[in-house]
Amino acid sequence: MKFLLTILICALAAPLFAQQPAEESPVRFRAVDIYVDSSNTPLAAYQLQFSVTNAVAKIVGIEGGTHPAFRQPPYFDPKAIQQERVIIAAFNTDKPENLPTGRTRVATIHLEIIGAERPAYELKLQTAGDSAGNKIPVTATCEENRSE
Amino acid sequence: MDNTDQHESDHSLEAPPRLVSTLKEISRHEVFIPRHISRAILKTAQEHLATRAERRFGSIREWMLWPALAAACVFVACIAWLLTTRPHYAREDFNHDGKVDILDAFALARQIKSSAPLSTTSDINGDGVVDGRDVALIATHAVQLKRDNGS
Repeated sequence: MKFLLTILICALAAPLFAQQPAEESPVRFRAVDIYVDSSNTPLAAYQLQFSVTNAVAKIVGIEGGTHPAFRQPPYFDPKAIQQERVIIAAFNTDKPENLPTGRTRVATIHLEIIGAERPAYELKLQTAGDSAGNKIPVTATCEENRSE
Repeated sequence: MDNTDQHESDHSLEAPPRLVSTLKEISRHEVFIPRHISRAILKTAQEHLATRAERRFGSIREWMLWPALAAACVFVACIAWLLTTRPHYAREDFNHDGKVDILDAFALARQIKSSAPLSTTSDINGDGVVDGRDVALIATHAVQLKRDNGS
């Protein structure tokens, strides 16, 4: 009887002594696509600032867009990596007919998201220009890439 | 004589009725002044007043001359300074719009591509050649994160 009681106590106490399972890491990665809409004007240059406003994500990489004119990664400060803010800029001196018009994905920013909170983004357009170097009005937007 | 007596004597002083009627009679009659005398009086008065006014304004003019001259000199100096002083632009501000952004790099890249003659001021990195490295330097400057102003 004593033996059975000991086994029972040991069986009940086993989980207490068992190694606690490591907490599942909440770190995940997300890609944010940056779009510039220059309407009917061919887009030759852009510069904008992207930032994560609630400090739950860090920038881990930046790649170019879809259009051949902006396929190369844009200029950015390497110090922005592992930070929450970056200024990206690119230009193309090609002919207007080879430049994108309308809504174009010009870059993708890769983020490492820490924690369960959903990151909030802010995108500020700094300047945009046409093939003659004139400033043009454009709309810049960003959206999370769900395909990843 | 005390005050009471003098007061009483003042009350008793009355002009004789004849004098009063004569004075009233004079005011009724117009005093005739010949036209040439009237004109002469008017002319003399005008000359007199004109001289006084001229003297007054003449002194004001003298008083205002030097400050006005000094103000004119300052004004001319300011205009000359504005015309001769050029606004100072950063070296990377290629299109001289007051800020360094990607459009400056783009402007220089276009100029290099068009084979247009380039000034020595376009040699941003100072290596003696204006090329893509100068463009890249401007672009790098444009995207640089600054801690102070948050740009």
